[in-house]
Amino acid sequence: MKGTHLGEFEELVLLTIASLVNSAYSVAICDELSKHADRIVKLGVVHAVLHRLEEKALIKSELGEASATRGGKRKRFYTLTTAGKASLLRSKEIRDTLWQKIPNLTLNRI
Amino acid sequence: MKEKMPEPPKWATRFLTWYCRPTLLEDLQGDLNEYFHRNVRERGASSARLIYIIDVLKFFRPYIIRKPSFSNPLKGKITMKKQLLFTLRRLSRHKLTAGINILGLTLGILSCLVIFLYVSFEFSYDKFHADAGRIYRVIVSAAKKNGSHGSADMTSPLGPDLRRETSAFSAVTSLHTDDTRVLVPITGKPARVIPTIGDDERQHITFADSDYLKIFHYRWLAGNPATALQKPFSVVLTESEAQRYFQGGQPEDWMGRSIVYYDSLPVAVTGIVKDWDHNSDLGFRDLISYNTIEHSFLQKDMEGWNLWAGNVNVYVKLAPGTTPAQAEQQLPSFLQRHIQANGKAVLSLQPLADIHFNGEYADRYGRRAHKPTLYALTGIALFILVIAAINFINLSTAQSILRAREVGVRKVLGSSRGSLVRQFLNETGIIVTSAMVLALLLANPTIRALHGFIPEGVRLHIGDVYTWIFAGSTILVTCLLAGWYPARAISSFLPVITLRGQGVQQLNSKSYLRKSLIVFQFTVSLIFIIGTMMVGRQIRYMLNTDLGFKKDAIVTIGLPWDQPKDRKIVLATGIRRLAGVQEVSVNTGSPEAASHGGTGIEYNGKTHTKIDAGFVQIDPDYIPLYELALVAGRNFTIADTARRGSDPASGDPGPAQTPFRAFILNETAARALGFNNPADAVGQQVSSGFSGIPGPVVGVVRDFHSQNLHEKIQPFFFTEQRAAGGTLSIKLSSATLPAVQVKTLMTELETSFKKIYPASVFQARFFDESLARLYRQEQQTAEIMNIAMGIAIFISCMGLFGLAAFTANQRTREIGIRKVLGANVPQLVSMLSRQFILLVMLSTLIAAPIAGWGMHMWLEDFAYQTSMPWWIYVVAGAVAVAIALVTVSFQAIRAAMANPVRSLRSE
Repeated sequence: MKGTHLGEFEELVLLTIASLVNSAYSVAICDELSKHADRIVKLGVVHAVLHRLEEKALIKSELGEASATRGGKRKRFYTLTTAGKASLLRSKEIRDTLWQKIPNLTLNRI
Repeated sequence: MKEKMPEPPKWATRFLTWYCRPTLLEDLQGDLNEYFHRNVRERGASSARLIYIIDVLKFFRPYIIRKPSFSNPLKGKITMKKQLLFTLRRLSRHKLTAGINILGLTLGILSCLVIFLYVSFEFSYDKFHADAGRIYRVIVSAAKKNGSHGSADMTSPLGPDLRRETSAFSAVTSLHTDDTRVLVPITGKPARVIPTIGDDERQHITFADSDYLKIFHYRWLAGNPATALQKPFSVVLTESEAQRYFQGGQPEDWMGRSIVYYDSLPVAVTGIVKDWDHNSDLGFRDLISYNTIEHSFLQKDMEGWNLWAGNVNVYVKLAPGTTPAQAEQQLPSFLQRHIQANGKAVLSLQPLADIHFNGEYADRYGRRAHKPTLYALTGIALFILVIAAINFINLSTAQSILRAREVGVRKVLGSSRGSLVRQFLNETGIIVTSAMVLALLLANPTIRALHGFIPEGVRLHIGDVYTWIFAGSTILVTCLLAGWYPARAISSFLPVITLRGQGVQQLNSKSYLRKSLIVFQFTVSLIFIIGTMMVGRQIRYMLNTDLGFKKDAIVTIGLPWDQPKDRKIVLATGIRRLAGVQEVSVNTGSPEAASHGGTGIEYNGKTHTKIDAGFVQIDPDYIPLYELALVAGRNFTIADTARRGSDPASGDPGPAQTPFRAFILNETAARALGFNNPADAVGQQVSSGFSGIPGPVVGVVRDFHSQNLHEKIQPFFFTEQRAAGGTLSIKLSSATLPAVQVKTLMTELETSFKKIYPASVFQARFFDESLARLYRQEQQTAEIMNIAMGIAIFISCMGLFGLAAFTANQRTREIGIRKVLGANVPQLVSMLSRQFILLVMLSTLIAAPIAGWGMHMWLEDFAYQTSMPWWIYVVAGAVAVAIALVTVSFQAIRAAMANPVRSLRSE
């Protein structure tokens, strides 16, 4: 297993799910990502990542209500699992630790 | 809403629904819809659709595609492995039933398999040629009083003239087929001699022109199809033939080498082709260029338009877009130009696909298959399979009593009826499949064992797709046939009843089906029994009936046509001197082999009478040799020949040119010419259709069967021409010569023959054996009937045996009580077997009219038929009852003899 290690895009998707709280479904995630990350995010890619994350048990999903725009199909809403939360926190921790190690001086010089 | 909302393309949605995993489908479809509507707003409907389609295609990814799910019949409450275990356990517990079922089904499937292979082999002939539908053979039919007489024999100029004078054909080729000794010269060594095949029905050498290669295509290993047969003295060989001649080497090495046909006709190899790997009647391996004939000594044998020769056939290929009817319209005027005043002969076209099955048009290279026989065989195979399936049904329903409790428990535990049916069908499937495996293993040995009956080349090819399709569909059909009813019956038990132990009664009341199936089995068996008896009777009748001539102790030898004619006389004289030889005659054929090739006989009396008549040319020794009875006049004498002035034995004119000087008629011919009393015919002048020169009738013989017994006796005449014959008839001094003496005599005959014809094949036949060969078709029918009868009876009896064993077993306790109460063994045996015997008797009643009608139809085909006495049915019924009785009583006696203490001791 790839274990709890998160890829860059996976981390972004996880964060988006967390930020959208209760309205995180594929299209919303896609839109949100496109807005903030300033890059074109394809639906297919998001689906693949959601699938992978669910397989890793970092997120879970349930079906919501149907809507007319979706041709009567229900949305699948995603929420973080505890493991998902933990792995997000962990990767934030790693980054924070690394950030703190950088002296301001060095960063400015670059 | 002003307008209707645009929709995503339906087919893309359907495609998505098809491939997408059901768990992911709804979400994905919703997403795509949402995007679609957004795109409609932003970019318009058409590009939205396009994007939708692209997305659907893009989602075709491994994690989205559903797992391929075959509708798995083994899925149910029980897994495959357990299922197999259950089945094997049950089979091993009921070894007898299992054995009977597997053996019966194996026999049934084996019959089907072998017959399938045989029939599909016969139907595969000459199907592979390009444009096979446009290839025809030219045939001629001569209208006669009693129907028309057809033949594929052609004259040698017909083919070339047809090509020149008609426009309907894109290619016309005339074949001259032959079988001759071949010499292969080898530098520095004596030539290798390849002997003739010696079988007049399997000639493999033919003269053919380039058009032949336009009609029938080959794969060329060396040489050029356009030019290979253009020059005289060229030959194209198939690869296998070249291997046989040159024994090793490559196609390039063989090109240009010389081969000598007819001992003195050298030709050069101009092409090597691959042998056809499909079945064909045109199995020629040596194609000699056609114009070799006119440039060589062979030209003198060409008879022009007068001789319709058996070794000349014409094949044509219709021009594209021409129908055979259009082409045939050109033929009457064409024929009219070449033969005068003979409106009776009509040329027509025979489709290539018909050649293998039409026995009327004989040739010297192909083999004919008899379609009705093939259909009958297929029917017989199916019947045998059905009989085997019936065994299975009967035994399974009988045994279902034992399974009633199991079914009850399963149902209580929640098994649905469907899953029980499936479970039982699976069991059937396992048994049928193992029978199929056995049948596949036994197929080739069986075919080999039947080699006299099944033509060479029929084999089971395990890699052949059709074999597998056949095996698969047979398993399926047999499973449903044998398993469907028992599965329904068993799964219908009500658990309440079966678990209370009352299933037995419920079942016993339902055995009508079983009884009628037994009746069906024995009806089929009985039809086969009656058929076998009748066919055998007719054959015995045909072989033993008084044909009007003698047939034992006569040996016939075929003489070569192409040798000087006086040698025949020398040979005959030599043989007459051998010990054990009583009489020798040179003739054109034995009495049964009358040729009716459109010859006739005319009498100019008060009225002019002309009749069609068969004839044989004989010498004075013929009539005493075959013991034909003269009813008036006299036999031929040497003087009849001498009166000609010159003996034709020294000259060499063909039979067509020499006038016949004396005639002997049969009674039918005499009557047909208007002589009510045979004696009136003697001394009258008649003429034959050949020369028209009249000669006197010197005698009349009693009618004899000049053809096989399918035909009525026809007008017939003998004429005297000593040296025309191609047959030497030899009568031995006694029919009961010891085998050793016959053997020495045969060796002596061969020595004398070889002394005079060193290069020819010695072929001697006992006349009664060749007579028996006339009825090969009937003998074959008899053989099939015998085998079918054997198998049908065997399988039916096995079923009966199994049922009897089962009944006896079920009633063990009852029998024990009866015995204790004083019943004796015969009473018990009759109690146990009465039912079965009654069923077999009922079958006899049903089978008798069916078989009687069938045999009547079959006998219609014979002009002289045996009688169909009533006792045939009685005997057949008695035989069937006896067989059934033996089968059943074996079990019944065993059950009745058992010690009641044993069966009653335990409870």
